[in-house]
Amino acid sequence: MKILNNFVRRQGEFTPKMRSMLRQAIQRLLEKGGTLFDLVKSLESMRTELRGARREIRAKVGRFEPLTEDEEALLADQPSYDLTVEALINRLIELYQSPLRNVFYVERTTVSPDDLLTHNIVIDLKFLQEQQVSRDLIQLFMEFLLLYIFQTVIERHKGRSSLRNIILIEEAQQLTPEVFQKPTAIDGTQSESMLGTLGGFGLSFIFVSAQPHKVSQAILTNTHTSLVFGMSRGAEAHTFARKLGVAQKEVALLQWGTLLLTSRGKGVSKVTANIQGALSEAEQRAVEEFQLQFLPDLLKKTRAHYTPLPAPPKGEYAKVMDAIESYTVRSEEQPTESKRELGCWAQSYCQLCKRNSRIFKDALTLAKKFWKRTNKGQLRSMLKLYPQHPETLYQGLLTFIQQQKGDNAVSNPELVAFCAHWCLFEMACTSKTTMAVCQDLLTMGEEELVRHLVDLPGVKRLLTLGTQLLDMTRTAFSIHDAFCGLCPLEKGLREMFCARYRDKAFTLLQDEPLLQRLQRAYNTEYRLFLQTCFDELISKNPSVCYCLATSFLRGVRITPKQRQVLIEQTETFLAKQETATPPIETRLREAAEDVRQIVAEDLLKIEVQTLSLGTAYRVASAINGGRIWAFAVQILGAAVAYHEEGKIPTDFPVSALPSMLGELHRWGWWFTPEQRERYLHLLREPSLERPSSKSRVENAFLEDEIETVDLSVARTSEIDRAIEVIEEIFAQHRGIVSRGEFIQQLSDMGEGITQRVFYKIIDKLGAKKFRLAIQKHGQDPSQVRPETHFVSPAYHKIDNLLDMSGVIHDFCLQGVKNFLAMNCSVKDGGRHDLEDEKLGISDLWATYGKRITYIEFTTGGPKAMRTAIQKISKHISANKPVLLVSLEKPPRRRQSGVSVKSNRREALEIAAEEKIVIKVFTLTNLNELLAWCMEGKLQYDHPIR
Amino acid sequence: MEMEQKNLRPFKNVLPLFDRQALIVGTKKIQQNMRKIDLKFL
Repeated sequence: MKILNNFVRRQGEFTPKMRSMLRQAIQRLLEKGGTLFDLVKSLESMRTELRGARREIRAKVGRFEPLTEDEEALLADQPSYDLTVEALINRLIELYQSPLRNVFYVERTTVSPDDLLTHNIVIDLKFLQEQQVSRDLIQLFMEFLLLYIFQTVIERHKGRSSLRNIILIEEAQQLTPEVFQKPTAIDGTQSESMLGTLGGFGLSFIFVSAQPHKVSQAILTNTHTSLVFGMSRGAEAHTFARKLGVAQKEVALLQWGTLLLTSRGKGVSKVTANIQGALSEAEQRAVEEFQLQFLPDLLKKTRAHYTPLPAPPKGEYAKVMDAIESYTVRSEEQPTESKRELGCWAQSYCQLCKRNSRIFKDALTLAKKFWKRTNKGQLRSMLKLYPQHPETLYQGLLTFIQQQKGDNAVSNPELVAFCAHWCLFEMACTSKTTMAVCQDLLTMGEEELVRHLVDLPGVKRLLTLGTQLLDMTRTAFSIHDAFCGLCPLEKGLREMFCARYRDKAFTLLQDEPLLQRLQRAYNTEYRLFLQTCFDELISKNPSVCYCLATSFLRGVRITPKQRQVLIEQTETFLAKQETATPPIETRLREAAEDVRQIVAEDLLKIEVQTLSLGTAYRVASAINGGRIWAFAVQILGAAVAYHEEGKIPTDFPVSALPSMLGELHRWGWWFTPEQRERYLHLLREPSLERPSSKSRVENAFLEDEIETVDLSVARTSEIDRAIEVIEEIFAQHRGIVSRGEFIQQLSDMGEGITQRVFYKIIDKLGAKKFRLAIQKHGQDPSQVRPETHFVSPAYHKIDNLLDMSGVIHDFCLQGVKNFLAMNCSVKDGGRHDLEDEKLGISDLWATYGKRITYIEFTTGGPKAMRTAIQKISKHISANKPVLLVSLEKPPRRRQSGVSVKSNRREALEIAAEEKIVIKVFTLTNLNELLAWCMEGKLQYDHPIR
Repeated sequence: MEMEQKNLRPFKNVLPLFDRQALIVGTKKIQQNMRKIDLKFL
């Protein structure tokens, strides 16, 4: 009650100072000939301003700072009328106590403007509905009424002293338009502000509705002294309380009180009728009594107006429980009839029970009864009723789980997991409780449940809290396993995992399938683990060498000696496996090949780190394939750095630098302007003895500028041919062609169009322009391997992104950026049209994706997400993750009731249900990260050192 | 008496008020009236 009082008071009335300012404002506005709307708005903003000022002054007082005179005056400037909930209720009681003396029922009598300022007015919209007045007309009337009242107040009341009267609008849901989600009559800025301003004059609007949530968001949040009362059920009551920013209990009390009052002696039966449904008369009576017991605050005030009911004797609630029992049994017999009613009923019962922890347990018993047959939504609202009892709830949960298990295994694990999750994350319970729940679940062998928990949002918190979980090897494992596919671990946590793994290493690795599982998880921890345990592993269990070998494809780094051992072991293993079935053998051979490559790369890395750039270069050039670029960039970076320090290593083949750059450039590596500048600088350095004065690389570096400048000049026959090809393709597809398809077509036609040209074409096509910038490359297209030719470097980068398990990696980011730049026109902060682009992306990935089966871009909303998931669900296979990149649009104007957050949350939930790897990039943070990356702030931070 | 009748206008008879045109006109009228308010007493 105190909170609610504060709420009401905070919204308060105009103070004398505000009144005088008000007068001035009105004067000024009317002189300038502003509209009523302007007036109302300025009143509102003034009110807000003053409130803010007062808040600041109060803060100042709190800091013991001296106040100026003005400030003191402002602080002393209090509303003349102390508005509290008690006052409001008193006025309500007055309203109903003497209906004929100073209350007007609009439908029965006439009201003069003066009456508006002195009398309470009841407007029963039900009456209007009965007269078959359409809803929009009711709304129009409401608007008119508000204006009229406002005019009257301004005109007659003169802003001098507070008003005391109430305008009570019954059946306020009539103000809601029939078309859902359209604004209600009081949603308009004008009406909202008018309500608020009238509230400031002391005129209280009370909207009474059986469905307060339906009435208006605006009333709840913006209308100050205007409150909405009504009977709301379970979840609705919760929403309502949250919107008001007060405890649900308080709201419930006030709601019940108001309803008791407004139903004027008809008693609680009317109030509870809608939830009691099929309750027998005796049951109803028991419930009524029971409820009355819990409304002492209000009943003290209202009892005079009712025939007081005798207080129920002790143990009365047992009777109620019996009633519930019988009701539950009955509804179980006819389940379709009253499932919802049972839910509602239990909710309201629990709500009442909340005040008594002894009864609470029974409430929980009841809850458990209907949990079996309830759905998530009901359960959610149910659980919301227990914010103060996490411990009890979790006890209940455990019992519930055990029960379920006893019945027939866990009949509804999602539901249970949901309960536990709720208990853990939404109820802000202690880490102790969290741990207890998890451990209990695990003791009960509910690993599956823990995994379900892990699947739910908020898992990070669980993991952060649940370090102890790691003591249970299998659990840590399953959590981790489940976790790896979902979201990146924080660094500290990762290290922790690794430490634990090391301890458990041999228990884990006796088990080859387990190792394979771990390996599938694409995680850094695994690498670290392998790194540590390599020697023991390879010596104790040679058969894991294949596993290990393939692991190195994922970038596990080991020492050269270990590498040697691994290669030998693998080869021995392969030799032994000669008789094995061909596919396996092939796979193993491939793996061995890859091991060599990886080893070389590994070596390269070490050499780069230990400054022997020459060796590094030789290794790099020995490596075949696209992996060179990342390392080459490293070498280049190191070279530039050493050069700047004036100590290029003697063994570094400076002459190779240009060709390295050229190679990189050919591979489509995007250099940042800064990088380009540095490398150009390096190339132009005379001490480096460049092979030729005008190297191809330098040209390549400057190419971008050349291309843009010489666009019109550069129309060679090559361009003409390319355009011909493109037009041909477009003609074939009647102008509709996806990018992937397009690229495929182009590559089929070949015709001397180089990779860079393709990129350019693609870029230009993205902009829907057919201007091509083509530069001669002198590259023989027949020598370009088809499988690598058109693979975007972004592919490798995104691949790495997954591989790194969330380590933010500048290459990855740049890759993502490049990818995005190429595949969808992402503009800074602007909107991006993905519709066109989706096809292209999917095709590109369907064609070239190796590790990822499929990539889909979507916007953040649940609807878009659902569509995307539908699309990609075809592509999901057992061991190939599907990547869904959700690019969220920047938040737009808030729509009523739907926030961006909940959208996103829902989307994530959908994705989690479908077991889809989902990376959410908002345009904002993507840009931010990219900006970092471009500025070189984000270092290449390989997790393995 | 007539004056009083005029004052009672908005609620005198509810049903005729639920004439869309009347409401729109009334709303506009109020908007206009607001400009003519004598603010001397404010």
